[in-house]
Amino acid sequence: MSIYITQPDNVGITVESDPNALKIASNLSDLASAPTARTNLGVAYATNDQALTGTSQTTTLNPLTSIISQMNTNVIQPNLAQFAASTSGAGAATSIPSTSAGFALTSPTVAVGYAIRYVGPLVNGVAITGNIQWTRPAGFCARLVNPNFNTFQTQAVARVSLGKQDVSIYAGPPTARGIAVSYGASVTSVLSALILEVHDGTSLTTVTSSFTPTMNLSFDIAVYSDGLGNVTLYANGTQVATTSAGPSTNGGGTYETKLMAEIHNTSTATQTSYVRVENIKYFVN
Amino acid sequence: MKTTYRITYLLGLMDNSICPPPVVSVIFPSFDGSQLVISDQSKILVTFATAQTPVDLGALVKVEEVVTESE
Repeated sequence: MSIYITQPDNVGITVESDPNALKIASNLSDLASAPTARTNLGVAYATNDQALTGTSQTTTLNPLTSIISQMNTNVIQPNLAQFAASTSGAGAATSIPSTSAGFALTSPTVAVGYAIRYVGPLVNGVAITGNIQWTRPAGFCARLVNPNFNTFQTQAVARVSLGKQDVSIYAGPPTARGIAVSYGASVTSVLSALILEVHDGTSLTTVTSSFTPTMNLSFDIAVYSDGLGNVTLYANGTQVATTSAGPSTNGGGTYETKLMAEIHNTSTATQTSYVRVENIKYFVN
Repeated sequence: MKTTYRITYLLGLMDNSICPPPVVSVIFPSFDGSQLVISDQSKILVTFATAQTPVDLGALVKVEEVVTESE
């Protein structure tokens, strides 16, 4: 026996007689609850907390949560005067040029040493006494430039980091839970690729990125830790390195919280090296 | 034996826009930039390999030896 359907159920849906049926002409305005429908479709708007903490890469912001996220007190651009300074080695210097939105760092002339600017301890939105809560997203960003008026020596390394200890000041990769980006020069004033550095509290992991900065061209860096161990480096807005070996647990010593920029001669150079760091911000919550 | 000195102003904040701050070489004539300097708006710490005799800049600039080095 054959069954013939002479009028499929989807034909003439605009005149569907079932009062519970959706109508094309209604453009979904006949849904009982649009927010519930958005949730069911997996496109619910972010909550204020999600907008502030950045815990999702897929949830969309509505205009209100967009404003809330812009008012995020977890994102801080410190006053430049708040940055303490440290120098070691003849010729090492750091200054805050009056016309700059950042600071300049100059490495020692013919010595091992460094020039450092830092702020810390940082304030946490959620109480983890005296430390960054690495189980939640954290990160930093800055604009860097190596002007042509100064060389960049092969002995020098420039670095921006979050999470170094407050009890001692040192140049180099993080030795406790932290995230950082660094670069040097392969030959004088020929800069090397950015290196993403992460420390999970046990060991340091470095990842060479696909981005190589150029002398006299400013570039933007951003490092984002998602709280699960995944850390991503962005250069000029593009992802250039990532690792899953980042910090994902809380703990460690007290006040391993510094936001730091440095230039560091790891061995004796013949001239100074120079980097300018501007618009530096950090994000902890 | 390393010796660390703390410099503080008793009136106002210190200008921390330049490090090492120029006042360090005024207070310590032997300062040549190779020494460790840590500065912020409230203090300057300078560490020498040997003990120094600071120049007296008056009552509003205090220079004191730090027994236990700290930030």
